[in-house]
Amino acid sequence: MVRLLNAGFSRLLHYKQLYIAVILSFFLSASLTLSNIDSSNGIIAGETLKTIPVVGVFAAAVLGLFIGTEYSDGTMRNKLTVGTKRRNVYFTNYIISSAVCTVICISAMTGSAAACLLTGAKLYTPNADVSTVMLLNAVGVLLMSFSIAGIITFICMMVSGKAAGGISAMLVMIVMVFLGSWAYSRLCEPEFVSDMMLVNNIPQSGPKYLNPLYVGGGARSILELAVDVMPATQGMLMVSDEFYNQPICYIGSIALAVGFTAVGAAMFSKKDIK
Amino acid sequence: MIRLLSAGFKRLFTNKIFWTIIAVMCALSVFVNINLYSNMKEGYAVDVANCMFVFIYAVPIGIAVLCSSYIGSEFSDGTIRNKIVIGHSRVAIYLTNLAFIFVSSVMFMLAYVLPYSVVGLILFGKSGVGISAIALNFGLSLLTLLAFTSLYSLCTMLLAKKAAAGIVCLLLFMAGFMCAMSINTRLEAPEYHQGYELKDDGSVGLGEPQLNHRYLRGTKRAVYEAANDILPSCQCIQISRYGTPHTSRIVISNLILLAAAAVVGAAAFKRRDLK
Repeated sequence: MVRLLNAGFSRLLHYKQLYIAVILSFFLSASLTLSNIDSSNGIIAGETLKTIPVVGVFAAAVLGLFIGTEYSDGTMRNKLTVGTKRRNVYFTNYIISSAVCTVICISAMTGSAAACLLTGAKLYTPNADVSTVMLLNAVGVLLMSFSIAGIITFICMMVSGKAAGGISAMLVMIVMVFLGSWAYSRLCEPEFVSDMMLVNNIPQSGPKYLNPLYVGGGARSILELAVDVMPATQGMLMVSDEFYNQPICYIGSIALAVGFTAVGAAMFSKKDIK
Repeated sequence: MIRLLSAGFKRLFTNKIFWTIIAVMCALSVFVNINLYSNMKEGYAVDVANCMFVFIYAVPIGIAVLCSSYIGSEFSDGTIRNKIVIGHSRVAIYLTNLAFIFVSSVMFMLAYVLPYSVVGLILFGKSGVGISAIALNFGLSLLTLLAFTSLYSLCTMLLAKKAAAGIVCLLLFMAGFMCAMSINTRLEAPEYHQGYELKDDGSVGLGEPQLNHRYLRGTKRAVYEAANDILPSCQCIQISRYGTPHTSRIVISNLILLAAAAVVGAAAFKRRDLK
């Protein structure tokens, strides 16, 4: 497995698409951070992570082509022919995918840091200590990149076609971003709402009534769990400074990574590689 | 060219990905109808026209996938080379591929609109939005889809690799929508913040309006507004909200984009080494 990792990483280091994704995420993150610096030259710590929810899309683009090439060029078959275990091939690709996701995340965070340093903007958080929030977010981003890697590796290893694998992984990541933002916006609906009304030209809040869009009961618990566990929504929680359920988020990320890798490795061991 | 079109359409209608996208669009229309119906049951005023143009966000993804699969296969299987060998001009090949993808995008649109309208009219009744506004939006949607089609065809014909083309098209889609969201948020920022203040007698009154530093002014606002009308992804947001104040600018920019993409694409494809 060490030789597989060696070969994989040396191929990765020569992979142009990785550098393009790293540069793109750096500049995207820097520009988003610059546009969010407020009039007092400060920025909410979470807003420096605005690129994190879409990191999966970048990673899917790179890994779809990287793993897909192994199938299309016959590298995968060669690896198996020389006696490497299928499980080791899968785990090696997972480790490489995790490294790619982590590098893209680090590049995005570096872009934000560079923008803050250039403008002298100060980070602040409304409710807690900045360094604590940043540390918790950093751990969350690291574990989230492992879960994204698990999902992408699973898709790319199961779909043999280079184009089909890459496009499927990207579509799954895009759908996760859209679904995640829908679930998150539903959870943000307040339970009770009231309309403002003018009484003698003085604005007053009217009587409260139940918000029909509020999600309650069992459906709310399911949505909350999905938002805490899904990688894209974890990023959204960090951006909006609502990354409170860290243990569930961390465990969710690890569970996703382990679950997808275990199922993927088992299915790959039975896959017909032509 | 007629033979190219005839053969191409036959291939298109047997393409599994094409039918999968059609099925997804139908499923999306059902999902949106169910969502609207549950809103209506909860007491919200619902109009059938509210979500009629949701397809404008989904069809570009379908076009990106189909473009790479349909045109990409022509390159990888050597079909393009065969077409040239039997005497078809490169411009004709480029234009027919553009036509196939555009026709597909119109069919994806219909796959959403027809089931949505039929079920929506039964569930919610006649729309309160005027027929002229809906017709105008359909016209603009077609032009926006044409712009997406020309961009994605250009990428696919120039890249010539199925996987790379698909990924570049999807990345273009994502980048376009992130850009559109950002432009839209900046343009919608109000000029003044209206605050409330607590008076000495404990009552709440309207405070002094405060200038919003994020409000765009002057040339910067003009540039953002122009980008909002020119970029196809920004047009999608305007169309879905029935808010297209600069219709002529959208029409002209889309036609220019289509012409530019077709000319650049056809010229580049003419010089391309097909090995």
